[in-house]
Amino acid sequence: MSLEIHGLEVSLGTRRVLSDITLPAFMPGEVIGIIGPNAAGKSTLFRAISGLLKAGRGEIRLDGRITAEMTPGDRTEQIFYMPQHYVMNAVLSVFEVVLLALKQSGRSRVTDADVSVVGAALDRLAIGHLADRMVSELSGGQQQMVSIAQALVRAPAVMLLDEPTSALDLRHQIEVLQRVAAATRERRTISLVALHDLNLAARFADRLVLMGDGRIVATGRPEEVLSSSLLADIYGVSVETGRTASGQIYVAPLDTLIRQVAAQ
Amino acid sequence: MTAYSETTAGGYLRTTRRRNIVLGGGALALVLAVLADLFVGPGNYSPMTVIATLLDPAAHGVRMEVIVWDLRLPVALTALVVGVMLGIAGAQMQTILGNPLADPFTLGISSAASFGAALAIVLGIGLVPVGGSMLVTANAFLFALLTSGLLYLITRMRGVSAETMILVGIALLFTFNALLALLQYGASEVQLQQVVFWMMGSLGRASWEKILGASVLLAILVPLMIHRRWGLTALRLGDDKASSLGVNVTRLRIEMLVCISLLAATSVSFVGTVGFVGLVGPHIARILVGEDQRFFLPLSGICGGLILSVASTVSKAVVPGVIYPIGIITSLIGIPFFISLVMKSRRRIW
Repeated sequence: MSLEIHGLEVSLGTRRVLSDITLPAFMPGEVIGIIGPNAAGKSTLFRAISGLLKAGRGEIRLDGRITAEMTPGDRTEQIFYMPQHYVMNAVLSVFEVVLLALKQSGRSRVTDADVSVVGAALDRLAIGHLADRMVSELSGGQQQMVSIAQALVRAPAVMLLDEPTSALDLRHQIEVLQRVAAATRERRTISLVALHDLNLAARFADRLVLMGDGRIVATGRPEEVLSSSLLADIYGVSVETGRTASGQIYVAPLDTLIRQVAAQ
Repeated sequence: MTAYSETTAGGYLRTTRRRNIVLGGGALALVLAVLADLFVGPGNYSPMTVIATLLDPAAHGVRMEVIVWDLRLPVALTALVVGVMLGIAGAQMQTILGNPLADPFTLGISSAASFGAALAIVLGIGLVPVGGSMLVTANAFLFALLTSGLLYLITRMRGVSAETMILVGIALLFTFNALLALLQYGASEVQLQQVVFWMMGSLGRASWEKILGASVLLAILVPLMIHRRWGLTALRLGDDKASSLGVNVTRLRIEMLVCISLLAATSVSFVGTVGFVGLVGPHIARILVGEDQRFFLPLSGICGGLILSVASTVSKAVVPGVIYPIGIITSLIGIPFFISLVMKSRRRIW
């Protein structure tokens, strides 16, 4: 199983939002961090991979099969997409929302096995205590956890998580990414995770894809992509990169530039 | 040995059992409401006499047979099937549009039917060559259906989103209301009275043919909706989320629009405008069982049937010998009940 993208171009109306996207093949068990400034095309790339947007040119292949030629049912069974910033206001419990993800592709009748799978996914993400709560009553961060539980029960070949930690506090950001990384390795999934926090991306991704202005700027291991010059070029901010005493890569904006921006 | 803690799934299993009990209780209440509708009416016959005639039409003579089998039973069953149709149509309209104010009439379907009926009453113009009261019924049905078709065509051109459907529907609603006003302006006093009476809704036009037609329609459409229950529930999470779960949102929305149109057109052509049931029946169901379509869909139908059956009984009981238009009664008795339910509900809906 591999995910390959060749020469992908996507336009919204007359505006081209993705140009010439070609990426090295992603392999099972890999966490790929997609980074880049706002409007770089990260969400559009996810929507194109998931089939929600049609590509003008190029192709996406999953295990050699062109995804555009797969049936929608087959595609969504293989590729799970968690959209960014969406709010669930349905009168459904957390358990029901996760069950819903499981039943879209399965048999209609709810079996004991289904209940077991959903219960296990909620417990695995430590949100079992929320099972009976209405999803509309949860915080944004808790709703993100519910979405990740939906991904876990689907057991897809590819998970596309668009900023899954944007509404979470620091502890939960780390917890969620640890669980995503663990599930990716255990289930041999290919996980693409869009992240704004470069330090988290460096810590949890096996490879990074840096995007800017609808194009791929760099791909590679975190230490290859997170260079001060490249980040300064794409983000327009001077940063310092290095390693902590424990060997973690870090990215820190330079103080002088923060003051300059504030002064402007 | 399970891979999850019992408390995680225990709540869901308990809730499912409770919802099944609510569904069973609702169905029982519906049966009792239909029986009450059957027992109440001019003549003050005892329930035992009515039941005996129901079981054996000749038990209490021809007069009683006519009263039960030709007058009361068609009215009670029409209230039942039309209520169920309106409840289900309202539930699905609110689901596909993601809007709590939606009911079968939000998109102008009712106004189109009223205009069709008025066209037949005032000008005697019909879309099909039938005569008498059938012209009014047929015109109302066809105009409701044609409006749905027009709505479908326009939204297909612009994109089948909930927002587009609501905007086009509201435009159609105002157009038909204006045309209806134009017809009323030029109508004679007698014609005007007929149009107004038709628009108030009445179960007096009940017949066995209509009951059979509505039952067949429900027997075809409800299984289709049940088949789509997971996709419909997913639609409440938003278009993007539903699509990402594998739901063909556009196709599902169009399928449901066709189902809703048929249900609404049939209801409105049979009994006139009864606007409250399709709006409130689903809300009551939502408060009681949430939006999982396995429970929400049948309970919306049950609530719709219950509202119309109780309203039918009340319309006969308020003043002996006088039957008030059903549309007035549903609103007058239903709205206070609905508001009290909303106020008591701990759960935030919409």
